[in-house]
Amino acid sequence: MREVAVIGAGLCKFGFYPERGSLEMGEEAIWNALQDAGVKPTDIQVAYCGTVGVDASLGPMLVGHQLLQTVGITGIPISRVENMCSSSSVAFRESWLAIQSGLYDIALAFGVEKMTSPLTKNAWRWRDLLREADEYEGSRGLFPTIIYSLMLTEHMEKYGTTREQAAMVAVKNRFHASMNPYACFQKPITVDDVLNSRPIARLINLLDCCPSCDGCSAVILASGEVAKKYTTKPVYVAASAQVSGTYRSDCPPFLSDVSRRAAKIAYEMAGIGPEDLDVAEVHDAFDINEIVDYEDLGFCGEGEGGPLVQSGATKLGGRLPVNTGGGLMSRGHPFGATGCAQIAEITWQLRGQAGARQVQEAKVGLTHTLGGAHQGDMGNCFIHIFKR
Amino acid sequence: MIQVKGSGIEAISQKLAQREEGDKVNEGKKTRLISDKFFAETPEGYVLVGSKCKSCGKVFFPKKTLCTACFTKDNMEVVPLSKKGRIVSYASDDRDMMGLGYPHICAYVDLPEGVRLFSLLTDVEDDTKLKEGKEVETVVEGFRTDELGYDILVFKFRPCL
Repeated sequence: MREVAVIGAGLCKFGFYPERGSLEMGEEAIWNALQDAGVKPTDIQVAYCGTVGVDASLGPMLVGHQLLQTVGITGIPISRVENMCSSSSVAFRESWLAIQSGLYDIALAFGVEKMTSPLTKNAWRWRDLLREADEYEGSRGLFPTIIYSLMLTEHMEKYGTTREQAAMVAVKNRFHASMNPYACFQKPITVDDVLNSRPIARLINLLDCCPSCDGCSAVILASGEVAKKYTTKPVYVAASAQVSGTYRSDCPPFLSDVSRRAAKIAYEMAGIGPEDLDVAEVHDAFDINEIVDYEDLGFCGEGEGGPLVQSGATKLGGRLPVNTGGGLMSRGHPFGATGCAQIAEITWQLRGQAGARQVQEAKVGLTHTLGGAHQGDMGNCFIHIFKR
Repeated sequence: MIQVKGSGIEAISQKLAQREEGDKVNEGKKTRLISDKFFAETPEGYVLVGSKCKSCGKVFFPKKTLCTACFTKDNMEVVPLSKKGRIVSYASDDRDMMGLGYPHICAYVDLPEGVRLFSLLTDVEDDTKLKEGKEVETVVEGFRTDELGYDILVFKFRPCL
């Protein structure tokens, strides 16, 4: 297999920007990545854009092409990819595969999502898209709140996980985000703040949930040989794994095996175990999500996710800091932009560029993204492992 | 036979007018099914239907032509689904995300023939009774109105007494 490294990453600050469009965000984030890599727009040979397309302002098609035009990238192969919340993880993996093929040396993976509009701060078009999907469970009420309310119910019943432990994830990720200038929410919160915030679903309050906001992220990859021409700190891709759900009905809805299956592939490919990780960015659409991720990724045993966050082990300073960028919960979750934003955070950690939230001596990092759900299973899972 | 004269805008207007005339009227309201393929109409009303593979017996919802258990194609029969099932787990959203005028409650329900359905719940007096294994039965009723003014009919489950 060919050596592939990340040579640049760029974001725009995630947030609520009713008056700011996708093109503006793209121009900022993608240019930041190009500058970070020291790469000219004309050096990019292939590009993948991850987006769900919640916003209609660019039309339903060619979002990637329109965004790349803002930074002067045209003519090359440009493709849009979608796997719900992991859309820019697909963009990254496809870029990695493109370089693996030997056909390309430099690729650009990026993602964008615009979830606010001038009329409303909230993602109501997303709500309308889901409830009008007559042949999909969204039309019968399957919203993310329901998915994670089910997950929390089942986890509480099986392992005695508490709402307080789930809230600790929210508090930890907000603490990390307070040190991340790109995060949507940076003001620290307490467990009481979470437990007293507005109920939005059974067992779930507003602060247990990530914000649907706006954002764009971009990552530039290069083959090992080419990477050395651009940077003295290439961040090597030690593993890339992607799996899809199988809609099993022999397990509780959404406590599925997608993350475990992806983790097995990724750890084997990288030749490491979870104990070798220095830092991780995992999918925390809701706080209970992160607790389940700990168990699925082998950070602790089955059912021990609640006690793990309670111990402080996954907070900055602990044995395995998780979501130093703030996670989906506090950095924000513009669907298409999350995958590459997680990779940008790990890139900065492994290069020693994470400022106040730096994990000392970070050399091995992991990103984990989930995408969508239906028929009781997660749609897909991506895991990438990075090494300096 | 619906005759459509002309082409373009005129033809489409004619088709829409003919559709309105033939609409099912339910107490003066126009209704439509959330998806035609989920249901069959019987003298007792709408029932949920699925496909049963005649080669291996596996049942699918919604209907389909290829059995993904034994990969036999076009050997399915349409079967009514069991009217009763059991709750796997349930959840509720506190906001009016479905545009119903009230928050919704829903669950995954297992039917005896091995089909697991995601569904809205209705007539829930006491949600603490909705534990895993609770027996529920199918109901077909309206739930929201679409932008064309049609009341949409959908399947739901209600707790058995």
